[in-house]
Parts: sequence; C-alpha cells; structure tokens
Amino acid sequence: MTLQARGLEAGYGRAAILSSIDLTLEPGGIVAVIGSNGAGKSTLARTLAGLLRLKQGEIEADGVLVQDHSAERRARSGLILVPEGRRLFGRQTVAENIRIGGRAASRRSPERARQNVEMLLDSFPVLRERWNQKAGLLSGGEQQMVALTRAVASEPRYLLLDEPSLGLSPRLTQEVFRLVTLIARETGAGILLIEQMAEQALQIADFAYVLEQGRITAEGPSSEVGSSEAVRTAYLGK
Amino acid sequence: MMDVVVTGLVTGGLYALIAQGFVLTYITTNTLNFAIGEFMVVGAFLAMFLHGNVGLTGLLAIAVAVLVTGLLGGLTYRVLVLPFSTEGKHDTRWLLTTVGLSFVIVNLTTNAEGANRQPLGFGNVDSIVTVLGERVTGQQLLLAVVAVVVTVLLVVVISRTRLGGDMRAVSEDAETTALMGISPRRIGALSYVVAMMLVGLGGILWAAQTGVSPGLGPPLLIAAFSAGIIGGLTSLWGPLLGGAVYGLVTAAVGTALGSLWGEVSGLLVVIAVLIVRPEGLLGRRVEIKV
Amino acid sequence: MSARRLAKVGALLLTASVATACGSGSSESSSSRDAADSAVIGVIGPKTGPAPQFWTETNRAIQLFAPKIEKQYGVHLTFTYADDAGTPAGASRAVQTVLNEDNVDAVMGPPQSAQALQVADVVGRAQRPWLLHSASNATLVPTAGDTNWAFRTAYNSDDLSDVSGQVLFAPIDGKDPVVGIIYSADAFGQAALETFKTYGEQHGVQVVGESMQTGATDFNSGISRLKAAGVDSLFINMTSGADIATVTESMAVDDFDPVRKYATANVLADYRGLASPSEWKGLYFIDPENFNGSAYKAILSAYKSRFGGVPDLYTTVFNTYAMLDAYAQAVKTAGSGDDYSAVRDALENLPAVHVEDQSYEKPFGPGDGELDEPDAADWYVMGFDDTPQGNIVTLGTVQHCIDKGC
Ligand SMILES: Nc1ncnc2c1ncn2[C@@H]1O[C@H](COP(=O)(O)OP(=O)(O)OP(=O)(O)O)[C@@H](O)[C@H]1O
Ligand SMILES: [Mg+2]
Repeated sequence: MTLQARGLEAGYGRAAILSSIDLTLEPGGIVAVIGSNGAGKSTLARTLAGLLRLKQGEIEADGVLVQDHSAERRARSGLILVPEGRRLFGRQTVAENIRIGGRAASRRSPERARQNVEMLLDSFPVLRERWNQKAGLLSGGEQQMVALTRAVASEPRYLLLDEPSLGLSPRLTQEVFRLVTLIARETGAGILLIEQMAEQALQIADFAYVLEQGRITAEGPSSEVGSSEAVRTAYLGK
Repeated sequence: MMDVVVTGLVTGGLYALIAQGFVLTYITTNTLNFAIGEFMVVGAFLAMFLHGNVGLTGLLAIAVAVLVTGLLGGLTYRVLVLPFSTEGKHDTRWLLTTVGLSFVIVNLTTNAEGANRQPLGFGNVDSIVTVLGERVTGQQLLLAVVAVVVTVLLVVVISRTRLGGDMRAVSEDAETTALMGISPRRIGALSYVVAMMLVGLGGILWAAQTGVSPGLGPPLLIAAFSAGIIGGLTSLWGPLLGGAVYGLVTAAVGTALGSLWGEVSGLLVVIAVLIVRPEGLLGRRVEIKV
Repeated sequence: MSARRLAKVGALLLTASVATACGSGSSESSSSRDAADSAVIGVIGPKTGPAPQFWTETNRAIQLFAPKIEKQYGVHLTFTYADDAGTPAGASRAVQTVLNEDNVDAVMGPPQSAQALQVADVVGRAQRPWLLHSASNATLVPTAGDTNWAFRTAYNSDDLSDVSGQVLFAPIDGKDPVVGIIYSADAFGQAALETFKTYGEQHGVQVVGESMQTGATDFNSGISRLKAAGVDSLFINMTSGADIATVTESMAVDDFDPVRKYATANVLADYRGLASPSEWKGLYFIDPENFNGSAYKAILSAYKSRFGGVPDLYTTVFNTYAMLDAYAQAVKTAGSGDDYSAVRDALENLPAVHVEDQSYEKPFGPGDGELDEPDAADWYVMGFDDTPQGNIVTLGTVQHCIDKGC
C-alpha cells in the first residue's frame, strides 16, 4: 500500500521541468519535499494529482497505475491535493467548501470523513464561528485551515500539500504543521508535504526529498537530510 | 405609454430565454455556443418532423425535440468545444468551431428544407391576450412566462441543490473542482445539454408563431446576445433583466422614432453597458488581483 | 475572467451574430451546339443561398415548358446553369462561367435585382440578349438602354409602384387617404419609399413610411406609429411572405385595420401558412396577370401534376414561360442563337408573345424591353378567401377597384 512515482518526467509545453523523479509515500507517514522557488515542487504536486499530464514514467497508487486517470478520478480514489495558494471557492461559504470536499469521499467512506472533519474542527474551533461566511473573506491562516479541513473531508489516503505555509506568519505556520501531524496520525493518510520552510517541514517529516531544478538531488530520513552539509547551507541558512 | 411597457417586457421574454442558453454555458465553461441560433432551428425542425412525419402529439413532439436538441448540445460541447478550449482562458478556438457548426447547420437545413419559412403547424397559442389592458399575442406571453419560470427554476437548482453547488464551484474554479472529485467536463456537458434544451424550446415556441426556416435564428440572436450582455453573462438573472431592458428600450424608441431606431437604440444600450459596466448590469465585478 | 475579456466576448458576440455565410458560384451541365435554329441559354440563379426558390421555380418552368416551346417553334434550346449563391460576388463568378466557359448565346437571370445589377455590365459588353424573367428593379436593372440588350417579362418595380400608387392614393369616401408604406430596411425598400413620397407630393397626399428589418420578431412599434398617424391606405412592401405575416400579426395585436391594405405579390409565398384568415381578410395584392385566368390555370395545373403542389413564386414560373416563348421565336426568326444582334432585333420586332391562350401583341420594340405596361386596366387585384388554406380570389382589375372599390 503505497503511492509510488517512477521515472516521472513532466512539464509545460515541450519543455520538461521534472525529470527522473522517483518517490514513495506510505500511509500514515509524512514525507517532505523541499526545494527553492522554481525547483518544480508545484509541478510535481500537479503531476501527481493529475492536473498535469506526465511525459514519461508511472504513478502507482495501491497497486493501480493511475497516470492516465483524470484528476477527478484520482481524487475520488483518495489521492488529494491541496494546491498552492489554497484555491478555496471564495464565493462559497466555509460550510459549502467543506461539503464540496466531501464529494471525493462520497463513494468510499463519507462517515469516517465526517468524523475526521469534526476532529479537525475541534482542534481549530474558530472555523465553526466562520461556518457560514464566504471563504474569500477569511484571513490567510483561516483559509489554510479550511483548505486542510476540505481535504480531510475528501478522506485522503494520500494527501499532497503544496506549500501550506505560504504567506503565513511563523506562528500560524507552526499551527498548520501541528494540524498536519494530527491529520497524519488520525486519518492514516500518507502526507507529501511540499515546502520551502525546510526546517519545520523536516521536523515533522519522517523522510525527505530535496528537489533542485526538477531533479531529486538528495533523499533520506529527514534527520539525515536535515543534517547534511549541502542542505544546511542551501535551505536552512546555516 | 403602457402599451410600450407591456410589449417591451413581453418581447423581452423571448430574448431572455435564448440568452439564458449561452449565459448558462458561459458560467460553467467560459465558452458559448455560437451556433445557438441554429440550435433553435434544429429544435423547431425536429418538432415539425416528429409531429408531422412521426405523428407524435404536439406536446410530446416538443418534449422529444427539446431533449434531442439538448443532447446534441452536449455532443457539441464534447466534440467541438471541449477539445478546443484546453489551453486556458485565452484559448478561444471553440469560437471558430461553433461558428463553423452554425454554417454547417444552416447549409444542411437549407439544402434539406429550403430557405422558406414553413408553418410549424402546432404549439401556437393563436390568440390575442390582454395584459394590463394591453393586447399582446398569446405566444409571446407564453414565451415570457416560460422565460421567467425557467430562470426561477435555474436559480433554485443552482443555489439549492448539490448539482448547483458543483456548477457554482466549476464556474469559480474548474481545476480545483476536479480536485474535489467532480468532473468539470461532465458539468460542462450538462450545462450545454440544459442550455440547448432551453434554446430548442425557445426555437420551437417561436417557430410555432412565425414558422420554421434555416434563417430563424439570426434575427433573434442580436436581441438575445444584447439581452445577455446587458444583463451580464455571468448572472442567471441577467438575461431576464437584459431582455426586459432591451425589449423596453427598443419598443419605446421604436414607437417614438421608428422601429429601425428601436434596434439601433438597443445596440447603443449594449455599447453603453460594455463601456460603463462590461460585466453587465448583474454580472460579477471582477476584482483586479495584484 | 476579467472585465476586459467580458467586453471582448460581448463585442465578438455582436459581430459574429451579424456575420453571414457566403456561397460560391459554379457552373453545371455543358452545352452542345451545332445546327441552325439552336441556341444555348446560360441560366444564372441562387441554387444555394437564402432564396433558392428563385432557382427552383426558374428551373422547373424550364423543365416544364421548354420542350413544348421548342417543338412549337421548331428550335433547339440548350440550357446551362450557374449558381450565383444569392450574392453579388457569386453572380459575378457565375456570369463569367456561362459567358467564357460555356459561351452561351443568351443569359437568363439572375432572378434577383442586386445580383442582376452585378452582371449587367459584363452581359452588356458581351453583347448577348439578356433575358430578365424575374429581376424587377427598373432603376438597378434598366432594359432597352444603349448599354445592354435586356428584355424583361417580369413586371418592373416602377410599373408596380405606379399601379400600386394609382390604387393606394385613390380617394376614400371622396377624401384623400393617408397612405402608409412598410418597407424593408435596404436599398429596394428605400427606393419604394422614395417613389411613394414623390407620388404623394405630386398628388398632395400625406405619406407615412415605416421601415422594417427583415426577419424582425415583431412590428408592434411600427404599427402603433402608422395607426397614430391615421393611415387608412396601407402598402406592405416587404419581399418575404414571412415578414408580411409578422406585419399582419402585429396589426391584429394592435387592432389596426385600415380601410385599404395591399401587399406585394410575395404574399403568395409562405404567408398563408404563417397567418390566419382573420389576418388576411381585406389584404390584397396586384399583378399584371389574373391568377385565376385561364393561362395561369393551365400553367398551375401542369405544374401541379409534374411537381405536386403550387409554386412558391407564381410569377417566376409564368414569366419564365413568357421569356422562353419570346426567345424561341426570336431564334427561329434569326435563324440561329449565335447571331446575337439578329436575335435582339427579332425580339424587338416580335409580333406577339404567347403564354398558353394569352397573347401580348407587339410586346417589345426598339427602346422598349418591357413586356408589361403600367396600365391599371391591365393589372388585377387579388386576395385570399377565408378558408384556412386561403385560395386566391380575383376581385377585378385595378381600374375596377379604383372606380368601384374592392
Ligand atoms: N504554467 C506554466 N507554464 C510554463 N512554465 C511553468 C508553469 N508553471 C511553472 N512553470 C515553470 O516551471 C518551473 C517550476 O515551477 P514550479 O511552480 O513547479 O516551482 P515551485 O518549486 O513550485 O516554485 P515556488 O516555490 O515558487 O512555488 C519554473 O521554472 C516555472 O517558471
Ligand atoms: Mg510552487
């Protein structure tokens, strides 16, 4: 039971942005992908989620090759992406956003998804107060929480988070990462945490990949990756 | 004075019904079917055929023709719109393919049926009704009522049902909607089906009064597009308001200065709206993101 | 989407909605030429485009009557056809095809004036007899000038306006009427309006004009204006029966029923299927021929037994017949179709043209290429009975209606 990418090559138009990407994600685990601006992190997330067709390689989820499946089909099978910038439906309410997230779970385990949503709301109760507000009017932190809750409503087996800390204060980033840990623990989903905030990401991840110019240049248990000289100078500013 | 108001509003109903046919698809897919006038023609010819040659009763013929026209709309989306709108919002190849389709339909129907108007032979409320003391044809009143009912139904479905929620989501962000396990393509196809059903219905009811011909669409299109633009292509209430405004202005100016000036004034209103409020009276104002 | 984009889409919508398709001209069937007493006629018409009925009726009339006329005069006529697609550009191409490729001895058509205007110069320069069996606009397409050798069996628009004027401007109950004209928003409509205005000025009669867009969804505002102006003598100068139906429908809505209402003979096509007897009650049209006369009866019954049903354009069928009769006689007299000027002279000097049992003595002459004359005593007023199919009834000659009322 894993999500595996093998020999991925993807990009926009003719140009390949990603090449020879091999990556494994297991349920319940948190895997970090760190890389600087333009490294290809979002491209990787979008390719895995099916928004971008790959040029070569395979994506296998729980033994099924999914690279030819549409994004909606992957979502319905539990491969969920929280895209960069959150992409809430700003004209719809918080409640509607979360409800629509549930559509991806409706054919699998909607009940469990609902319980997990409740769990998350208990842990971040301010969303209940905002329940009937338009999502577009929330603060950045609140929006990220809604995005996470919406994803949990989809009952993810594999959850891809594209820079959840984007635009958030350090304190809120901590809060988001706390929830990510919680989600991994409570839902048993495998989480691919794509981040520029390398230090915090490495703290909560079990395993990490370093992405540079579309290639994986280092990988290993996050403690190892975090202590490597190259990563420390490039990403941790030390 | 009152007669102008009543005729204006009542004729606006027909425009609104047709306009709804492209507002609906514009909302969900950012595309519209430029062959919309020809779908009116297809609906009307189908109804004529089903009634005259197959022998269905009038109501049944209308129902089947409307449904088939809707399905053809879905097919059009799948074959001529979707593959030609894949490159984002600046991809407007669908515009050419649907315009092409309209030429094809005009040629096919002209070759098969000739250019002359033929009576539909049924479905016409052949009477003159009095509304607020003013006389209008029964058919136009029927069309106006249908337009209002259709709009209210659409608004209820879209704001109250799950499907409506999906449609709103697609309209706001199709890509993210796909990430929720919902197929924007299915929603798009469905919108095209419903939209062309409305257009087919409008075409049939209109043809019932004026006859069927391959040229049925174009004279109505200008008015319907105008109604859509005035009201706003992104609002379901838009066509109704736009149709009313266009109907009123053209009737008022037409009565005061002559009917040609009426049409010119309608187009002037369109231009004014495009300048002052390009999103239309009820359209969503677009926040400029920095 | 941005506001700009919306505006752009809006503008596109408008331009696209007024765009129209264009067809292309093409030539069909080839000609065989040889013996004396034979001629090749190049027939140009809108096989495709918005008004294919002109093509159809011309064709059918040729199929129906040419063999009989050939036999009658002992000539051999060959027809070659070219599509003008109902556009001036198509007509230009079509006339080149028939003249240059088919090298025809005479050109027949195009049946619509705008297209005929387009080919006038070319046919004139080629110095071939030009057979106008349908194009009626005398201003655009004059006959018997120095520039071309045109002969017309259709009535011409000036004569129609003249005769219509005589009946429409006649007093009602001893008083001058207020004359209204509904005209199409194009050059022809404009020309008709001018004719009426001039006529009104000459006779001191008030004329009110209302223009109408072809295919308009209703004409309520125009009708209220005519009604408000006190019009009691109305002429509906629209060229499509469907538009005339829209007008009478709006008249019913507005309860506008002037003492005198006339339409063009185009009311014959499409109109009755789209209107009801109550709407055509008292609605008349005029034509140089009596559609209930024996010549028409014979033509219509031949048409019916061959094609089933009646023609969309009665007059095109009739006038094609008259034209074939005239041309066949002229070829016979000239000895061959390819002696163009001899054929022209023969046409000018024809003693008579026959359509079934009807004759037109000395129809043409030097300087006279028109078969019909604007004499109210020669034209007929017709209308429809109150059956759902609206059979044509003849009320009498125009002169009779002027004198006695109809
Ligand atoms: N839609 C696109 N079309 C063409 N090129 C693109 C597109 N999106 C991204 N790119 C290019 O692909 C490369 C990788 O971009 P990507 O968004 O995957 O980087 P990223 O690692 O997510 O960066 P960031 O940290 O800024 O989000 C960049 O060079 C970028 O310019
Ligand atoms: Mg990114």
